[in-house]
This record gives sequence, structure tokens and C-alpha cells, in this order.
Amino acid sequence: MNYYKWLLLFICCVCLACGQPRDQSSELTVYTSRHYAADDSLYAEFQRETGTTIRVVKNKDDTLINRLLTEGAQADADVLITADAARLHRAKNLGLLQPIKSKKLDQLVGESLRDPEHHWYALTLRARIIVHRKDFDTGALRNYLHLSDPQWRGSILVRKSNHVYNQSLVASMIAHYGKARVKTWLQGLVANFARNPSGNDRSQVLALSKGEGDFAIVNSYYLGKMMAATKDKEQNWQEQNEAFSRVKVMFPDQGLDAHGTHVNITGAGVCNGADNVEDSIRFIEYLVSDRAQQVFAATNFEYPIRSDIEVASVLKSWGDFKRNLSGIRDAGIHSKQALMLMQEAGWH
Amino acid sequence: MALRYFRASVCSIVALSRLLPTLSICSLLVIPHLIIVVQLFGPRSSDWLHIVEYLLPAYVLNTCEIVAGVLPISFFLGYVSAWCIGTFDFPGRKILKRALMLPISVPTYVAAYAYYGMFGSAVVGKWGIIIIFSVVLYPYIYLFCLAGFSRESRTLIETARSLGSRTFDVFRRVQFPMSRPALISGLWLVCMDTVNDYGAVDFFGINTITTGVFVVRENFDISESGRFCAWLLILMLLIRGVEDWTRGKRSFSDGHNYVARRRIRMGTVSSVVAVFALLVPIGAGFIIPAISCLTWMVQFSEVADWKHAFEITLRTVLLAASASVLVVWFGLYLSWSCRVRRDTLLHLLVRVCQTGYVVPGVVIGISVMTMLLALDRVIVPIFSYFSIFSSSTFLYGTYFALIFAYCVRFVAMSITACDAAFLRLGMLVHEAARSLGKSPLQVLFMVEIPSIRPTLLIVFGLLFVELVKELPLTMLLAPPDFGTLATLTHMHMKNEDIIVPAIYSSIIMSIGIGSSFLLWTRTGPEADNVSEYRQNK
Repeated sequence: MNYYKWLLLFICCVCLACGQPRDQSSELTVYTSRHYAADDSLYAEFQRETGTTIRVVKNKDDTLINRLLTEGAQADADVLITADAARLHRAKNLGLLQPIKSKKLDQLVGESLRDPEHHWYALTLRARIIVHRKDFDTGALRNYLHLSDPQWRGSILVRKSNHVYNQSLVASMIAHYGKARVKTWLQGLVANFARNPSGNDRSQVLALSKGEGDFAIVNSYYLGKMMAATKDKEQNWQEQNEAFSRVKVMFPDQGLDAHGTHVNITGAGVCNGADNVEDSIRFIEYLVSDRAQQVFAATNFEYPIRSDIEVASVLKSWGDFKRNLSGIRDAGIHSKQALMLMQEAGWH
Repeated sequence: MALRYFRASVCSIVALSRLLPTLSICSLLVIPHLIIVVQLFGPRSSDWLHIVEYLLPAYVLNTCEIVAGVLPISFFLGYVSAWCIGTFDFPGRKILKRALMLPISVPTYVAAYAYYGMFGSAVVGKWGIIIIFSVVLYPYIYLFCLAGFSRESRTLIETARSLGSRTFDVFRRVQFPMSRPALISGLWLVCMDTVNDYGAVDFFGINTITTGVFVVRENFDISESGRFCAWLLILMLLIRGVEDWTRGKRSFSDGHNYVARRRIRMGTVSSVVAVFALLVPIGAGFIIPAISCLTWMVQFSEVADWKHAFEITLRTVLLAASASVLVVWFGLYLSWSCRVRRDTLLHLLVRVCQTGYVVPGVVIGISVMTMLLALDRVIVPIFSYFSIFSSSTFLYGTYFALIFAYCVRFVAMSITACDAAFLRLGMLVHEAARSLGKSPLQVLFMVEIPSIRPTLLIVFGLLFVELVKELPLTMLLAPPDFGTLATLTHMHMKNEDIIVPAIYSSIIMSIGIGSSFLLWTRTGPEADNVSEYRQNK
């Protein structure tokens, strides 16, 4: 009869869509919010070298963390890679990560770049820099606080407040200057916005080069990517190249007594309840190895976490700078408060 | 005496047991709505006060501004094109009549992506989003009004003519007021799709109620997002209620004489003008997005991962197809139960089930999530006690959760269509078959389903297209490694990756166009009234 056909079709669909059961013992499941081709090539290389199959689950950071949270110890994830210390801190506090022992990691990853209780380790560094057009006179602007000066009315370009990069920046400022001062700073900053925050970091630079504002607050690696944009990867590559050539980088908070430019990280940790802890540690060790760090630095324009690895030439041309490494841990502690302060100031 | 009571009680138990499947399906579909409303009465945290004070006003204002901008523009585009097609005759009319519906197959986020790719940051902003929504969503108004124009009463118009009214006067004083119900239905759909959109507004960085739900969900507690959604649900129901109430019981037809009207033949010059004018909405809503996605796809075809694209397409198609079959079945069964049983409670429950389509997808997503997490808290301990299953979640984050959410949201579409089809079929067929000794279910399968098959196919096709491009629900409930064409397009769009969105958007659009084409060729003229099935009465 007719309805049997439909029922059969439905059952077939369900079976096919659910996919085949996986053999979990010989594989490593990596939850990552990094979405770069460079990473994929590294995973493939690790797979070739060790014979461990890697299953990559790419999604938004919060989706991954929420998923781990609801699944608890039974989640199928082994390694969590996510952007920003605030998220790693959150994952740790929620009990999603487990402490790991690895001499190699402790030796290669600096103390300020890892969790004191060994729950997570940084993989790469990015600086949250201020960018302006080459011909623009920045006056006395030397640090983030100066951005709220009324003389810069209508000149600041930045993405939305619910992005973790901004939350961490503000969180580290709360740790440094206190809540009250950051609150007034945010009000001044929002009053200086050139437009309603929209788009990602790259669109801020594009808008800057078109004169829609005078300063953009962006992550360093995006500039490298804009420089390296080519025809076969991006359709507005010319626009990006051009915008890159028109702008100049400024590292804020660089004076002798200043605390350094805000940096954020991407980091990795082993999930609580991972089936394959040994391989997971080996995998993270691989990600801080010479080879992987070189790939991160050269193709993704991130700062390596190790001082003995060479940075990409474009980053080198911007010069060395003082990094606010203590801000990495502060970011986690104050991130929710930072978001609420930003929203109160009208930064959405 | 005792025997009589015994018999009566047995009868009522039998009657109840017959109702049981229907009632359980209904309650399953209604529970998420109830759960979300219950959230309103929970304790208020300081986070909630923060949300109400600093976030809600901005989000609501933005949403209202966008809706207020989209409605008049899409009304203008849809209404004028329907009026042209319905009233005049000119070369190319037949092709244009179909082509004007094409923008429906372009999801809003794909259009936003295409326009951003073409014009850069110039289109980013509220006006950009208003224009994009208008050119993509006007076909709803067009379809409803076209159906209205081509079936409008000849008597009324000819009376108006004979009383000395000219073409424009007839339009202003007769045709326009008569098309009000169709117009309202179309505007309502446009309004719902605008509020429901997540991909495009998120891509442009505009905070609406829908993106607000995600912000609250990601940065605060799930109960806060639940409460947020409850207000949204109440708001949408209120708007809908006001519309129903103002329409009241006024009649908008003279009840007979729905003869296709003779169209007015246009002169050469006006024909050319009309054709070019009608090409504007088609170009903006379909040709520009489709051509740009296709060009980028061709441009990047060498570096693209076609194997992966094929896997994702297969997975999306299977998910959408299986969910559509299930939704059609649920809708058919519920509609049919209401047809054969005159039970007030049942009718009421089925009505409540239909609210799913009135509220935005995120609301359903959050409520289904809340419900499944609560159920998991009960089920999992029991299961692990008997060591049947040992995971902390059993329902949440599975393929099942996603399909269930699709059912809650889309079953209204199926119920409405089946109701209409059963109404056309009439009860006589059913009673005749019953009197020949068949049971109600036998009648359903042997007589009723074959007779309303075209309707079921159309609903299936529409649901399928809708589910292929569905974004907010899928984003909230799909397992993290279960990317569909829509969610992957959105994810890569946000990362300003060009290759993947170009390919996946082209696939989504081709699936949309392909299915609509199949529907038209397979089911004939009935498919012309497709958008009526989306109307939630």
C-alpha cells in the first residue's frame, strides 16, 4: 500500500542520516573553534606521523562548550581548542577540562601562557592593536584609555561587544584600572564610535581605509591575512590588499611604565572524560612543536608562543612590543562583568 | 443495571484509547510552548534585570524598525507586480508570472551574503537589510494577491465599470479593498520571516530579537533566554490576535461567480515598460544573488572540496526529507482526527499545536532545548540505574531533538493544508466508505490519502525546501559535528570565507528551484496556490 512506501522512505532516511557507528578507540576527537586551512594541514600531518585518526568537530566556541557542558563526562571529545583565555577559563571552571602532566608542555609554554593548574596551554598569541591610516595624525594617542578622549568623536571602528576579543580586552582593563574607571572609559569610547559596531575585524580595517573612521581596534593576525589575501581564496582580495597597504599599526600601552598591549590566545586542553588522554597530550605537544608553531606563525600570522620561533616577516616589520601577559588570566575572571559594562554603555 | 454501567465505562475507555495516539502527539507538540510560558514565572535574577534594562529595548526597537521598513517596500513590490500580472496581458506575461516567485528560493542570509560580496560594506546596515529582505520576501504578498486578483468576482468589477469607474478607480475602490485578506496574509508571512531571520542580521551585525536570544543564550543562563523567548512568543501571538480580531467576520467575497477575469491587453510601449518594471524585483531578489553565487562557485571550483560538499548536501537532503515526511504525517493525522472526531479538547489542542508557526524558530529552539534537558534529567538516572545507557544526555543534542523541533515548528503548515484539502473533499466520501464496512483508519489509507495526494505532495515539497534552508533551529539543536548546508554557509560567512558559502548557497538555491519546478510539473495548477499552505489560520 501507498503508506508503506513513505514509511520505508522515512526509515531509510533516518538510518542514512544518522551515519555509521564510529570506532572510537583509535581516534582522537578534537573540538575546535579555529577555522583555518593551516590547522587542517597540521591535523593531517599529525595523523600521518602517528597513525591516530583525528576527527575534527568545528563549531562556534560557545556551542562547543555548551555541548561539553550538557554531555558532561560522557562527551566524545578528547581535546578542546578554543579562542581566548576567557573561554578556556570558563571551560576549566565548569569542570570540562582535566589537568595534564607533560614536561614538554611545561617547558615550551611560558608560565603566563598556561593555566597554573595545567588545565590548558596557549597555542598562539594575537595582539589587540590599534590601526590607523598612514597619513593620519594620531596626536597624543598612546594607549587604549586615550581612545575615549572627546577629540576622537566619530572616529572609532570596532566589532560588537558580544565578541570575546572585546570582552577580554575590557576584562583585562577592569583588572588593571578597576571597574569604575573602565565604566567611564567605555561611555567615552562608545560616544566616539564611528558607526554601530558591525562586521568582523577585517571589515573594520576596510572601513578605516575608506575613511569611515580614524582608528580600528583589531586583532593582529587579521592584518596579515588581509595582506596575504589572494585571488583563489577571496573574492575581494584586491580591496583587502589595498586596505592593508593604506594602514599603519600602533601597539598601545608601550611606555616604560605601561603594562603592555593586550594580547589574547588560542589554547587547548584535554577534556574531562577523554577516552584517549595519552594521544590527546601528544596532540597538544605537537601543536606547540617547532613545526606547528612555524605553520601558525607563517600562514596564519599569529605570534608563536615560543620566543625561539620566528614571526612572520610582516609582523616583524611592525617591530617588537611589550605584551600584557598578566591580562590573559584576568580576561577569564572579569569577562562577564566586562560584557555587562559594555552593554550598559550601549556597546551592543 | 450494573451491566449497563460496566458497558458504558468500557465504551468510554475504548473511546479514550482511540483518542490516545492523537492526544499524545498533540501534547508532545504543545509541551514546549507550555514550558516556555512557565519560564515567565520563575525567579528573576540580576542578569535578567540587566537584560531588560540594557538589551531588550534596543533589540525590540531594531526589530520593529526593520519590520516597519520591510512591510511597505515588499508590499509595493508584491502588490504592484501581482496587479500587473493579474489585470493586464502582455508578451512574456506567463514567464514573468512564474519568475516573480523565484526569490522565494533565495534564503535571506544568502541574499545578504551575495549583496555584501557585490557592494561591500555599503549595504551593511539597517537600510541594506530592509532592501534585501523586501526583494527576497515580496513573493509572499505577490502570490497571495495574485490568487486574489485572478479569482476576484467579475460581477463586482463589471458593476463598477458600468457605473462609470475607470481602470484605476476600479482598482482603488473595488480591487484593493477586496484583496485585503490576501494582502494581510502575505504581509503576515513577510513579517514572520523578517523576525525569524537570524543569518542575515547576524552577518550584518544588527541586533534584533532573534540575535538577542543567541546573545543571551551564549552569555547568560538558559533560563534567561527562555524568559526572553516567552516574551517574544506572547508578542507574536498578540500581533496575530489583533489581526484576527480586526478582520472579524466581515465577508470579502460575494460568494459566487469566481470566473477568471478577462485581462486588458496592453499596447507595445506599455508592454515594454511593464516587462522592464517587473524585471526589477526578479533581478534584485533572484538574478543578482543567484548569478553572483554561481560566478563565485565557478571561480573557486578548483580549490573547493567537492567531496565534502557532496556529503553535506546528501546529509542535509536526507535530514530535510525525513523530517518533512514526519511533519506531513503528524499534520495529516492530527487534521484527520479533528475531521472524524468532534471532540472539543482535541480541536483545542490541535489549534495550540498550530502556534508553532507563528513564533520565530529560535523560540522553538530554546523551548525544545529546555524541555529535552529537563527530560534528560529524569530519564538518564533511570537508564543508568538499569545500565541501559550511560551518557549524561539521551535526547538533547541528537538528531532526534532536531527533527522533533522541526515538527513543533512546522506541523502547522501541514495541518492547515490537510484541513483545507479535507474540507474540499467533504465528509460524504468518508461516510460512504464507512457504510461499506471499513474502519476509520482503513478509510484514511484507502480513500482519503489517495484523494488528497496532490496536497500532501505539495506540503512535502514546501516543507522540504523550508527545512533545507532552515537556520536558527538547526544552529541551536544540531549536534556540533552535524553541519547542514545552511549552518555551514552561515558559519563560513561569518568568518568571511568566500568559497564554502558560494558553493553551499548555490546548492541551497538549486534545491529550492528544483523542488519548486518538480512541484509545478507534477501537481499542475494546484501548486499555484502554494503559499496558501503557509498561512496559519
